[in-house]
Amino acid sequence: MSAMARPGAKHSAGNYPSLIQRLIAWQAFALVIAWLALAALLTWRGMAWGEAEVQARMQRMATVLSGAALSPEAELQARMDSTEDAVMALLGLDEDFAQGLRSVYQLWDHQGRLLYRSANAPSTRLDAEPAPGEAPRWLVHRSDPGHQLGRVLLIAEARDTPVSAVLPVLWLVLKSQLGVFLWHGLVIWLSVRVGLRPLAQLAQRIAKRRAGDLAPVQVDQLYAETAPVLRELNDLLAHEAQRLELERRFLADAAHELRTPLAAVNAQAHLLLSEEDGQARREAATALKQGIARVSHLLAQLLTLARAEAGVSSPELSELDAADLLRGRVALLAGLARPRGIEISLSAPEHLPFRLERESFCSIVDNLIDNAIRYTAPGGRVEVSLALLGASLEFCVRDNGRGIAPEQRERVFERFYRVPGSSEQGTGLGLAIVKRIADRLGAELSFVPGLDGRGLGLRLHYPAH
Amino acid sequence: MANILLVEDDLPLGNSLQRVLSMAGHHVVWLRNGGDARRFLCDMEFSLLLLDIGLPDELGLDVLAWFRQLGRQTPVMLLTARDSVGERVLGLDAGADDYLGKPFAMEELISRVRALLRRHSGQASNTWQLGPLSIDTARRKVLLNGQEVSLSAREYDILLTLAAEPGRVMTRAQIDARHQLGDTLDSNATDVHVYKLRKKLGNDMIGTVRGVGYVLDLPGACA
Repeated sequence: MSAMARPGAKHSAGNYPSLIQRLIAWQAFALVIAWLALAALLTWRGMAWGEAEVQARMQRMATVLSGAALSPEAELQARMDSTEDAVMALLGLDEDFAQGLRSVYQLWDHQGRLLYRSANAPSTRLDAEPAPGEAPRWLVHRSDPGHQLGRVLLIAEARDTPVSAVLPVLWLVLKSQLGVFLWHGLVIWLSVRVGLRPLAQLAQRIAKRRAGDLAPVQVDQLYAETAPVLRELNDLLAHEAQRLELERRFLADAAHELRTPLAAVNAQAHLLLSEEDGQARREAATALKQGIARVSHLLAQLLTLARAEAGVSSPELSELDAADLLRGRVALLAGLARPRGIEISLSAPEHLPFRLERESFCSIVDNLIDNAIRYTAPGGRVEVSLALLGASLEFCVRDNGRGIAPEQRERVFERFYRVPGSSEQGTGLGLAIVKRIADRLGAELSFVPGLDGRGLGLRLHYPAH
Repeated sequence: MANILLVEDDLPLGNSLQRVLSMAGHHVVWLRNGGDARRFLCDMEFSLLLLDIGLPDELGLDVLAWFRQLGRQTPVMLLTARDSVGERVLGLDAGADDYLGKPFAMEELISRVRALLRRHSGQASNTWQLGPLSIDTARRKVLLNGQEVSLSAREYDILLTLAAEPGRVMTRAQIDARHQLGDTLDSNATDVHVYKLRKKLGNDMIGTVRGVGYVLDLPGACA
């Protein structure tokens, strides 16, 4: 596990999208959205003043300007300018920005002469009637700064504020926000980097492990985010360690079980070479052949069991004719039973379509029937039956052999367990194989009475998948 | 008796198989790789091909597929160390007639070879001697202890199928499939024919495995 993970960890992380970059990008995106919303709000506010608000503002401007508006004509220009500058200075606005906010105003005397106009005001009267068909351009506030002079102060604001008038405001807001923006980015970057450090540590701890080390991974401090990763990883490691231990034991058992028959084969081959007498040589050769058959059978059974125990994948089911498949297997196994004078019979419907995994079904059938034939004395009977019970398949093998005592029934499913006192050359694996496969398929294996009030019966209840 | 091409790369196994099959009366050509096998199969006619799946230069299955693509009907038996049912189905799908997983008993090999040769020489002039039974496959004549037995076409076909592998139990479906009898509406037809065969050949010649099928029993023939 760790041996495989290591080369992956050594490759630089640069090939993959960065979590930190992703977090920062999202935060930046959120900030930009917030700023755009603010800008939109300001623009809307700037472009859509209520008329009462505008009137109030113009009223205030009129009050401010009224003092200057009463000055003699010669000083008028200077007084008005300085007042206006004072207002701007008071508001603390710089020149560029203030340009858009400067009021438009005119000062007329009682004879209709234009005494003064602001830089952005037209030379015609602001309160003149608009040409027919045209909408009035200005919202005008008229005030009379001094009765004795008969002067008229006209202050105006355009009815429609152009977007360009709002832009300076937005720029100002942006400038003031830029600092916040950068500060925020820095904070995010730092916090995310520091926050994700436990992940880097975890990767380092895993990378440092030696091949075959399946001990749990340890880190200094667990967090809500890293704990599930570590827990899953350690669960997986524990599971693998357990599996490896099982395999190690299996291998040791298998080697042990193979040693005895191989020693027998060795002895028989030695006899074959050293015997002089023709009859004795033939006997030794026959024994050698049987010994090899025994090893071959044991090897095949070991492999089947290994496959059954390693069966982690989900079963590969296909729609098969279970009755036909079973008949074919019984026909093959009958070749084993008949020479021993054992009568084997099958009771099954002509066809029985069912979703099955071919290989595992055959393994179960072969092993149960083979077992029954092996432990039934010559002249005995083995009955095989297959039926559909509700939605499940029910497969039964019964014999009139010597059976298994109730106290040994649980142990017969252990691998390499042989019923004490049995002289048969069984591998002690048949029922273990059947049990493993049945468990994997979710099938239920149970003991049922044998034939003639004796023997052994095994029933497999195979649910529909 | 028959010309057999054996393709097996393992030296001790190939050597022994060649000797075993020769002692059983066959003429055996033994090759050790797929390329040689292809050359020999192009130039010569064999009655049986024994093909190992794991050859040093290519898969035996590929040789088999190539051979079948040439339209050649020669029976092929696959030998393999990988003996899962899945492998077996794969081999049979590729056009193999039989499949033997290593390790196997020599008796098993010899009886399967004999069965394959018999199955494919139904038309060739050949006489099968099975204990007291003698079958002349060219003239479709059956002799029991030297006396000719008159059989119907169906009875003869069933007997021939069972006689191809004495001692091996054949299911009714297998018997029907061998001789395209599957189209008969009456599924008990085979039972009736076997019943008649028994009356003609004697009761102990054809055995029944209840619920499964029939088998031709010959003393000593089924090892």
